[in-house]
Amino acid sequence: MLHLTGQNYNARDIIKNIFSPLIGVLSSSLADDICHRNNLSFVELLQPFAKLPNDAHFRDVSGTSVSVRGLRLNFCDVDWRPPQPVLARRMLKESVTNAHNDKTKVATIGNIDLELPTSEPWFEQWRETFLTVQFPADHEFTRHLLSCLLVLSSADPQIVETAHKLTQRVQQMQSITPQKLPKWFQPNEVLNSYVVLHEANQGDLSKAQQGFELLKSTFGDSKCFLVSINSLDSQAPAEVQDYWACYIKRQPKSDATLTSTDLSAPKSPQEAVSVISMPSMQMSQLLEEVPAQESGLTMLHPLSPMQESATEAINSKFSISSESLASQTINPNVWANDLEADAPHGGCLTTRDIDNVRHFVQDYAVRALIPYIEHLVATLSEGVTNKKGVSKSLLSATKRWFVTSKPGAGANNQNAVIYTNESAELQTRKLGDLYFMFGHYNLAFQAYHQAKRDFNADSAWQYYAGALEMAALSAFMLGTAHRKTYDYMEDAIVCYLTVCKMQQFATRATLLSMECLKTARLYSDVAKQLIRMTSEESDLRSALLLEQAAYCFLVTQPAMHRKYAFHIVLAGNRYSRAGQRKHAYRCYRQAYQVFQKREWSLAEDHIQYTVAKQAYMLKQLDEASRSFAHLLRPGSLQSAAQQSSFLKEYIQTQNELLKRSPEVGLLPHALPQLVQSSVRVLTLVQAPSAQAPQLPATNIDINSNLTADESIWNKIEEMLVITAASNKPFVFKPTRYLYTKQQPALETPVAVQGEPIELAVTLSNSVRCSIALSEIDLLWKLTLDNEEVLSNACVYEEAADSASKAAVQAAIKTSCVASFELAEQAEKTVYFKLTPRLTGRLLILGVVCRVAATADPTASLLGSLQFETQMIRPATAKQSSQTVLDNRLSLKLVPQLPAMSVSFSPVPTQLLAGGILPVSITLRNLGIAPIEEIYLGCDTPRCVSLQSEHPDQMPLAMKSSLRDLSNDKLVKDKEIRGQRVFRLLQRPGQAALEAQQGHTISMWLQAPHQDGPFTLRLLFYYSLPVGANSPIKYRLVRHIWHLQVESCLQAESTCFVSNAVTNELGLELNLRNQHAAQATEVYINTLSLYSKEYDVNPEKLYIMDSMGVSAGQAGGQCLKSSKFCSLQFRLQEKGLKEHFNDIPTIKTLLQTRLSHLKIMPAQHAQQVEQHMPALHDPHSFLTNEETVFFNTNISTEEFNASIGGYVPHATLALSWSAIVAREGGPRLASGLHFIKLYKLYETGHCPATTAETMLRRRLSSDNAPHKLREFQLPEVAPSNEKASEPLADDEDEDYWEPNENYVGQRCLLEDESFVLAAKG
Amino acid sequence: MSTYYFVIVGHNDNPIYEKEFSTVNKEFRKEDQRHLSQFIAHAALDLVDEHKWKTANMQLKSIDRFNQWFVSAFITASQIRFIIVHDNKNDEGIKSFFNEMYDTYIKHSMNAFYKINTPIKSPMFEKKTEIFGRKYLLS
Repeated sequence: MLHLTGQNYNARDIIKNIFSPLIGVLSSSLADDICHRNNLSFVELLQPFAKLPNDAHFRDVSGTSVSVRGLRLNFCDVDWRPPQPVLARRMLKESVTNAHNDKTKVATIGNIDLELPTSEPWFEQWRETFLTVQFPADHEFTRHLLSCLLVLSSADPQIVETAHKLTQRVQQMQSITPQKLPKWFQPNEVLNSYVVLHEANQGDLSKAQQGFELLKSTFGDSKCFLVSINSLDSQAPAEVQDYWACYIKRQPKSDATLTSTDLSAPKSPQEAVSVISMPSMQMSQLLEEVPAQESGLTMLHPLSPMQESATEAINSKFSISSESLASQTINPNVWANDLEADAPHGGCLTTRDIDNVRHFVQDYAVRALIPYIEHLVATLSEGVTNKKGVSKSLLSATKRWFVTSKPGAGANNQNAVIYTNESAELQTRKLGDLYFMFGHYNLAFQAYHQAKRDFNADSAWQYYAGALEMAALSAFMLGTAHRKTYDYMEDAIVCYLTVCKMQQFATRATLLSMECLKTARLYSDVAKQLIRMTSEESDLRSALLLEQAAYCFLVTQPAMHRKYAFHIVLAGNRYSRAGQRKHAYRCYRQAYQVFQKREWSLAEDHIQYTVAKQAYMLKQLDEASRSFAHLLRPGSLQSAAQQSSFLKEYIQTQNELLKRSPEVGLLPHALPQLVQSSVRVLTLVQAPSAQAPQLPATNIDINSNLTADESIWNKIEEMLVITAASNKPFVFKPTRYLYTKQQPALETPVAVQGEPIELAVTLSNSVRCSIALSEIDLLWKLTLDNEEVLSNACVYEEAADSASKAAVQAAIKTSCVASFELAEQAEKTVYFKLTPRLTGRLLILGVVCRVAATADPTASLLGSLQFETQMIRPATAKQSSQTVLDNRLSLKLVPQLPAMSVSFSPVPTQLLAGGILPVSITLRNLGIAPIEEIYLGCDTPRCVSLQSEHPDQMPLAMKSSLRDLSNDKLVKDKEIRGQRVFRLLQRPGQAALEAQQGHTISMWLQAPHQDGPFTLRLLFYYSLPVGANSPIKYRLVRHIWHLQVESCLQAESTCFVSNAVTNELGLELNLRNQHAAQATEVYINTLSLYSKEYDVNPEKLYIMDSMGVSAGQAGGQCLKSSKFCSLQFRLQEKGLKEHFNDIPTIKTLLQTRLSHLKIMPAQHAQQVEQHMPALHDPHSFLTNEETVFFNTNISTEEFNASIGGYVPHATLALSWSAIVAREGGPRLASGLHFIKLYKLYETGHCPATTAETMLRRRLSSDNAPHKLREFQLPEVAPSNEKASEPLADDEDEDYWEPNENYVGQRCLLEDESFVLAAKG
Repeated sequence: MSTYYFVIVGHNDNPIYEKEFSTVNKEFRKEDQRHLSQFIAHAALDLVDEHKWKTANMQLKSIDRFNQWFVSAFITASQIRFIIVHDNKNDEGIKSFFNEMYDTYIKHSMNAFYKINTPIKSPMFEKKTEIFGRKYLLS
């Protein structure tokens, strides 16, 4: 019967096939038996050969011979009936369900790559089925049987009787009025021909000839045919190739419904599947034997997806109207045999037999059919010509001439006209059909055109539409199609649709029109017609047509990919309503290709949700969860309720997927998101080993922001390393422990076995409902030194045995919070601590957690969040776009190393300016190897003092007060290092710290005199045993104090000439307690003067202003907050002139130069001073005060200038103590204030004012070479007057200009500072 | 009883501003409509692109329809497309609305901090749209 699928037929072939002459077949039971030996019915036997191999010639009325090329006969069992509507609908549905084509091609439209199916077999199958299941109508004759073949067997002893019987049966069918199915083209004179099948291997040919001759004499020469087949025994091996197997859709013999007449094999396995599993087969297939069929299918076609056969099994269980089933004989055995792989068909046929069959078809067409057709044409045209003009009535004649009626103009006489079979109008139509079927399209067009006019005049709209349709097709086949004939088709469709309300015919006309218009490349018209045919009545048809329309939009010029997207979505929607999940799924996925990344958020969500749903139903759970995951993306416009339902379905889908395929292990989570840039890794976390109240070194916190002061640390580290390396050349590279986005890891970070690694990562919840996370863990992979790979992914796999799980868990210990909740659209940072127990290469892969919606905690999902390796652009290659991979999550684990823990005694966070605090540092070697050397580096050495067993070198500034250093060879960097780096626990011939040994060092800390925040950094360096082939040569411990300095005591002092006669010098000292808290009491214990030339006169202390002095808790005289006092004392020259032969020790020097004076000590003064390093100690803060600390980045010139110039001065040291009211009760503090005095009448401040600092700097640079004395006195009196001051050797330079110089400089300075401030 | 879905579409077929106007009470409106409007507006882009060269007008009138929905379009000089999906005829109102929105859009696009083709998030723009929508579409 019809065959349109899988052949890449062009439009002409398709139309030709649809309108091929229909020949009825009726066979006797004996003849049937003959055919059955080949596993075929007679109709099937003919199928592959139904197309005439040679041209046939057909003579039209005028006697012109028309050659008919490639005529194809459509053989059909006379007992075949179109299926009932219910069955027909099922067949249509299944023809679509079972047709698949997974092959895709890529079409690039605009800048979008669209993946489209290479062909749409479901549409072709559906079209074929649709056209097949249509009932023949009365208004057209193309589907009426033209002639009939009666098949007989030569083995029949009473062949003529049998022939008569069959003829009678056929004639009975033909003569029934009104006509029943099957319909006959010309019921009163049907061509009945007789075919005698002869079995060559059994029967005697001469006997057969005899019977045949008898038949010929009875029925006429031209009507009888003898075909000799079955030359082979059925046991013998097959001789001919199986022409039938691949294209005959296997069905029981008597049911020829959907016999495929396909002439070639399917091109792909997919097509083969679609051919094998044709609906008709399932229909007629034994419903009870479903399992057999199912297994057969899976066996035969491994490519056919499992669920397909499952669907079929379910589908075929549908109840089918018993009526339609009853009409179809079921023969399961035949089908079962067919499933055997080899030669199920034509087993008894030889090539010769095949040739016989071919000959028969040609012979039949030429000898019997065409002459009969010629005869019919002659009769019909005669009838038409005779009756022309003789109209049914005068009225209609008038109408015909004067009324141009339009379909639908008057609905009154809709289809009211009934023509008799002999009416001229129908004769014309019949004539047209005959011409059309035999390829004489020119005459066909004329006939149809005539018929169309007549029908129109009669307002016989159904007939009219049919004639229009055929006229359009004739024009198309003739190749003379133009706008007008396309409009014929358009009118036909509209007429069928609106006037006749015949959806079926309208659809058929649309399908035909589609082929014509496509050939003419009028794709937008195709799309328009197809879209018009979508209706609420049939979802399946609408879906198929919409899909075709969508493809049409893609081939229009220019391509309309957005229209395509919309219509493919509509098609998908219809498919899903029609229960065609696979197709719905496919359509939506195709649509998504257009919509993705276009930000049509809601449309995208709709597509994704449908895809997810369909995929879920199709058990494509990974696809489903991917789509659900997409729905949970950040920035979705969906409501909270919608999102939480998405989340629920997502979790459900993922869990189902896990249940179904446990081997997939951990699935990636869609939620929460892992903020990739937030990953921070900290290696070398110090174990907190300090015992209270000792506090461990701060080290680096995982949250520290390293950008700000990392360079300071690096500088200190560099100094430490150079000092420790003692001139060994090397390239310094700062050690790094913390890796973040800002501090990417260009090299592999190193971690130590047994020491924890910290990792922080931020998780963010992008949806509008809160989620709960639990069972949080890290996913890692460890490559051991022997290349064995361990990964804890196996912990989450069902398959892994418990032993290996335990082994893996022992390898690395991970700890983090057990569970937490992420509120809607919130972020949270999670901290992990990993302790590796083995060495090797550790790769941290991701985070494992169990996610559940807070609203529904029972449905939870275990999955992973993967870390992505970040790309970084190295700072060195700023210009190039080269990027490297960040290594922060791929660590190298090295064997255990000595580890030193450092802890400190607690330091209050608030200090008084100048306050001194003892701090004890406890160093403990936690490792098993001794630590050889320990160094301490500090960024503000001024504020730190360490008690050292070995007297330090004298500070350069102090040394320069003894002798000129400008000619000494001093290395700047070394001096700078010397000021900042201290060696700790230096014990000759002994390691600094033995294994497991602890040691405490005392240190003093002095708060700076300036108030405000104060940061002090300490960096401990300890070397590791040499020879250990480790990437780590030394290790560091950081400590940082963030302190708040509160201003407390404000002191200022001026030197003046107290007695102009004796030139006695005096010092005035103004003190003020500036501490903010009312209750703070300050006691001035001792005043010390560090001077080369003067001592404090211990007798002469005058309290000038003691109004502010009052009694306090620790003594009678204290300065309460915001109180003020002023005192004066006198200086006297040192009794002994300072003289050293050599450079003395610091202690000696200090002792020589210091003189003390007790002022108003507190009761606890003694006790307080014991806590501080004595002023004359080498490690006292006076030493620090007297040291000029070089800035690490000063130039060599500046360095030389500063060591070369000694500015003579005296330093006043005030030792004070204070009782500060704190929250935890009053606290005792003590400290030192230093005031440097350079000149007479110059006020020195502590804390120093900015102006003063600047002045000093100016002076030191301007007047550096001035080698003046302290308090250089002018020669007020002539030199003969006994000057109390011994004059310095550089007498000539002395002059006294009390205020001028000073004021001038001061003004200048203020000017300058003003300018600077203004600039700032 | 009328609804309007207004969308500004950028050069990459991406919506840069979306707004719905409706006289129908929120409770009665089906959520379903929202994505359908997007589909219709997106599909109409093909026709906008086809029609924009055929006329000198920026106003493209009703260029497409789907079931009961009409699509009216307006194209700016810089090929930014304004589309309205509506379910009743209101040519005059839509025309005025488009013109006002064009004005507003130009002003917004002159903001140096606004990058062409990126979503418009200005509250001022939102407010103006609201006003014009009420004035020309819903009245």
